[in-house]
Amino acid sequence: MIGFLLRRALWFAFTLWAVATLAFFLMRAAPGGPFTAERSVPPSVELALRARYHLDWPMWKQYLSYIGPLELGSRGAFTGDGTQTFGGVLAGDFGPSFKYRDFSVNDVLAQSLPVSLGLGLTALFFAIVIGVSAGVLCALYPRGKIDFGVRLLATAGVAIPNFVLASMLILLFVFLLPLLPVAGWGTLQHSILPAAALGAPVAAYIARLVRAGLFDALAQDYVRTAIAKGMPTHIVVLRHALRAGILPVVSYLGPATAAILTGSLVIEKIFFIPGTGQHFVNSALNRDYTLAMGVTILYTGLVFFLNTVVDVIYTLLDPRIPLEEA
Amino acid sequence: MSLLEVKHLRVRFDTARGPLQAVDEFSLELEAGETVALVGESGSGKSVASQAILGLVQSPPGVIETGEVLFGGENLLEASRQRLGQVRGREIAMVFQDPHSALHPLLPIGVQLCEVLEVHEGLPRKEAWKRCVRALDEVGLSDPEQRMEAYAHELSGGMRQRVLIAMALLCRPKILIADEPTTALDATVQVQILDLLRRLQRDHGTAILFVSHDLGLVGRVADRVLVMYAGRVIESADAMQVFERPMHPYTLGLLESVPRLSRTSEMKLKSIPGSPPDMTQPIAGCAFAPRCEFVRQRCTLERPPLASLAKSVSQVLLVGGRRSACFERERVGRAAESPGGLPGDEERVP
Amino acid sequence: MAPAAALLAGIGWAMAVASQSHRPPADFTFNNNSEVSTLDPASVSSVPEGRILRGLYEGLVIRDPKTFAILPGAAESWEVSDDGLRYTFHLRPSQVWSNGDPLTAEDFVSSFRRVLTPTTASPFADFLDAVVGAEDFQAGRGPGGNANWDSVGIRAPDALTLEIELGSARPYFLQLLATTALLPVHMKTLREMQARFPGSWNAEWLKPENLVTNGPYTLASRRINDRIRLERNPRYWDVDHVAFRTIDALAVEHWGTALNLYLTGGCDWLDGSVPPLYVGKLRDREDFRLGNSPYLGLYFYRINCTQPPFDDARVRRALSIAINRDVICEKLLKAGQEPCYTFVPWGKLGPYESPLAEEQTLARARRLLLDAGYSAERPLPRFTVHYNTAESHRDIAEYVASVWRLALFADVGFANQEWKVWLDSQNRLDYQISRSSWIADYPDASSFLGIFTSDNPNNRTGWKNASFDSLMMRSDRELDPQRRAQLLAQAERILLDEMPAIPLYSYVSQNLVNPRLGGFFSNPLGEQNPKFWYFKSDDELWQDRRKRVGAMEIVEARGPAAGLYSKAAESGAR
Repeated sequence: MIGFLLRRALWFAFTLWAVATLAFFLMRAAPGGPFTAERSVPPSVELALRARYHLDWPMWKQYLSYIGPLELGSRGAFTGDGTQTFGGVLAGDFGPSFKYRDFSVNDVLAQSLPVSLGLGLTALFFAIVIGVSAGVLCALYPRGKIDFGVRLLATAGVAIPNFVLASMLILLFVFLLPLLPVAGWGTLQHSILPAAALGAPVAAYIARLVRAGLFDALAQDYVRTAIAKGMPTHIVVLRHALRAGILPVVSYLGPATAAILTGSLVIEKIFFIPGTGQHFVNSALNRDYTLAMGVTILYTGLVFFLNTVVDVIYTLLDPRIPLEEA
Repeated sequence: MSLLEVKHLRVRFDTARGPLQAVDEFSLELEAGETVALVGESGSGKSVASQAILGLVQSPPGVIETGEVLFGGENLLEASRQRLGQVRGREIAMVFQDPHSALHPLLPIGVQLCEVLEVHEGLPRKEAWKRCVRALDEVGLSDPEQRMEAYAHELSGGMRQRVLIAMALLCRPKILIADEPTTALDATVQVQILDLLRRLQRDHGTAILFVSHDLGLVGRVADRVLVMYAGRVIESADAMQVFERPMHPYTLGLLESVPRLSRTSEMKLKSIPGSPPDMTQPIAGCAFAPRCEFVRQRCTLERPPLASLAKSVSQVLLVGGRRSACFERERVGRAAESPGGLPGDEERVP
Repeated sequence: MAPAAALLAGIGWAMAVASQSHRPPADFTFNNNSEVSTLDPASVSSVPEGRILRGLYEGLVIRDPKTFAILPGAAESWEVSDDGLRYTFHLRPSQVWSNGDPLTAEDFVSSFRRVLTPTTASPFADFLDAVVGAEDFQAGRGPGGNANWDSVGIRAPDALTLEIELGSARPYFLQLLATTALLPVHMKTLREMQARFPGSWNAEWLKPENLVTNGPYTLASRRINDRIRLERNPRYWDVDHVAFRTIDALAVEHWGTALNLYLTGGCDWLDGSVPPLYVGKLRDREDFRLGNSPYLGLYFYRINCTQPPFDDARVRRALSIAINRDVICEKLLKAGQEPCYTFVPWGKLGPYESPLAEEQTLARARRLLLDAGYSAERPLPRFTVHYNTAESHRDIAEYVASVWRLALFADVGFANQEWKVWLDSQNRLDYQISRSSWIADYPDASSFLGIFTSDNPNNRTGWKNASFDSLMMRSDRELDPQRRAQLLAQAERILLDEMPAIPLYSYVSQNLVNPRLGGFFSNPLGEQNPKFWYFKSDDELWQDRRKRVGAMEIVEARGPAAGLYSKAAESGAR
């Protein structure tokens, strides 16, 4: 276990470095820059701005100063007044944001990440609870009305884009039945609709996975053994069949988390939620180099971490698979 | 009244190719403490028949068309799901063919054992655990306490089958249905398991329905033998009688295909030519006719009934409950008594 | 499994709860359309920033939100010398910053100096170009090769007097002083933050806990992509005329979401371009103010004049003439936008009136093309219209391209570009025809015509014309409004003859406003000063409704029935 985690940690460091490096150079290769605007600034101003953020340095120097807390001599041409200095990613400092000039990237992430995590985890919880329950219902009453209904809903849930679902939810629960707030992030009620819209496709997918997994498991010999032992249906399904049938869901949780994190862009927009999802896309569009890098590194770390957690959970659930192979 | 009585059981499977008559007119009686073997090739319906007793035939595609399974006078085929749950594992237990897949791979052995006692006897986990350790000890598993914590994949095939037998006998059931319990095991382990079953039967007085394709193996355990072919019982007799003088060409074929140390050189090991019939198609006469060396015209036109050998009441004493579904059983019996000999041409008269 | 799910749920809810920042709703909430990029007045001047900055700061002079007339701000009076070169401002006595520091003329001197300092990188340094010595200071030229502030014509002879000396007259100089770029900042805080946070002071001094301002409101809180909360500044000199105690500015970018919020009472005012689909549904509502107010914005197509065949003015004119702007406005946009044929939207601005555009007939367009050597037999070489990704831009490009294809036999394609790519290709003149728009910085024709001077970075067409440049230069210095208008008209005449770009339509402002809101005026700059806002009482509301001409659908006016008036207004009423 410890060896596994150590190896994972090494991979983690390498992955982060590779992603950060790739993102760094890709961002700078994109046409336009952070200060390109419809109202062009005079060339002298653009020069001063570039100097402030050290974009006038050679690429390798920018890269090194971004990565590490390296002392690279005088910082830019206007030391002391106007130039931004920062410690570098290794020191946990993602630098100033180019677009939100009154904030550092750390500020932006510190403000938005709890929101996104709150929304994402609520959505994931919703997806797991609904998805697993629906899948189990299907297995308990196979080929019946419930099964048919759940399959219909699940197909719809996977097929309907979440912004369409969001609009339908708003129409239903805000305008037809004025129960919930239409947008914003302030109280718990605010998180219900967006979490539902964000989690629905995942719930639908999980329901299908659980249903298929349970049907598969119910046909297994060990389930027949359990029935022959006289185990009541709920033990057969929940203890015996579900334990095996849930494994594909656990494997899917990694991708599901990534889907929820990146899929939150649209939901955040529709429900006006100040989360990280919007920064994920908008920072790239704005050529906000530092923010884009910060979000990319953060998401990489988050997805990597959650995948590791999922792997550990998987091996806890399936003793046949040694951790190293997971 | 017998402990278990199966009457006129018919089981059909609705397959994509049409209905398949898996079991037809199956009847069985099982007395307390007795071992009855159900023998036949794979696909003969023996497993389906044994599983139908506990309502384990998957539906769909399986359909129980007619029949009764009387256990203590109660028809299990009409019992509620709840009642079935009480009978299963407590009154009638089952051991399946493949110990590799019959144990849950993701649950510790102990959990799988304990839940039987928890459900049927309402024991708390702690007490159940103790009894399960004893049960494992009884089936000859070393380090039973450690085994309780183990997962199926950490045990060998023989150990797993011992676990399954221990699991089946936890509640001291009256009947144990053992569906090919040794088929997936090495020969030496097979013998050990059979000895174990016999010992347990002796100790607890359990009746065993032993399902197997291996007539040789059956000889070691069974009191009575039911031979099945194409969903029907074609011969039923005491074990000794079957081995000494089979009265159905199929039984004879099975016997001749069993390797035996006692076999002399001229007693060649034979296999039955041809293959079992397609059971989705209706069969007019005897289902074995196409493969039968004793076949006569009548066999292809008329289905031979499973008739008692006793032609009169006085003969019952002599032949017992022996039955055979063959018009030519006497000829078969004679042929069986002259080892290696083929039925003479002179006998092949219409 | 169950404990894992429970754990997940626990963390999720905890996060959700922790990230909530529920505050009681503000007296007034409006949608600001996007997150403001900074609260540093020297750095930005877009509409969303302007609304916040005008609430936080107050310049020497302010603009009347209805007429754009210059009103006293931090300066209660001023004198301008007859030659228009010397401005003397008299500040109100005993004015203070939000932290209690006195507001002095020196604050304005240091703030203007900051705008001119190159490291500030203020895009608005050229607003002060006319000031004596400013250009030298900015360029770092001066006696001994050093920038010398002493020779710049911005001085504070005493705490309440500010003198500004121009090298050449600027007729619209007071309008420049009313822009957000020249608002005063509290230099003491800024320097303190520089000392405390050498790495991040740029952000620190603008944080709610640090920012010191002199306007009607102070910054209470700020969350990116959520809201800015303004609180009435009790130390503001005219606080008795400020009605709302708190104002929330939302950063909703999605128009549908903003509309949902408005309809469910989540905000009291939203503007922005209404999707044509909704215009019909909203048109009759009393709270939808549409088309009735021109907006100083121009939608046009830049032409890359450095490449054939577009280096020929006849080709450019032909392209312009062929487009039927009525179709664009009435069939595609539907929200009251006005077809535009000139480079100043709406064809006039204040005393200025644009010269007449060329006659718009297809025959004339074809004639021009023929003169340039193109016809059905010898069509224009293939070219592409670029636009930044947006549905309405695509619709217009599609229409324009089809017109050119059918009427002028041109082989035209159209393609979208991501925002920054589109800007970049314009900057590098790597395009043929590209969608553009321009919003006035200040209400003057030069704000539009000026972008086509040779050295203006916003030219981006490669078009250069010496006589145009010199006319613009002369108009800049002409104090007589009549003569100045003539000079500008001559300059625009050149643009119309040369057509380095194709004007398509003039913008309108579109607002959905709580009928209860008073002190709100649709104006051509979309400029609002939060200082003037208040809620009308039911009485006043109904008086207004009775005065109104034409049938309108009355909608619910959310807010207190008694209205929400400033102290001064209330005591005045009594």
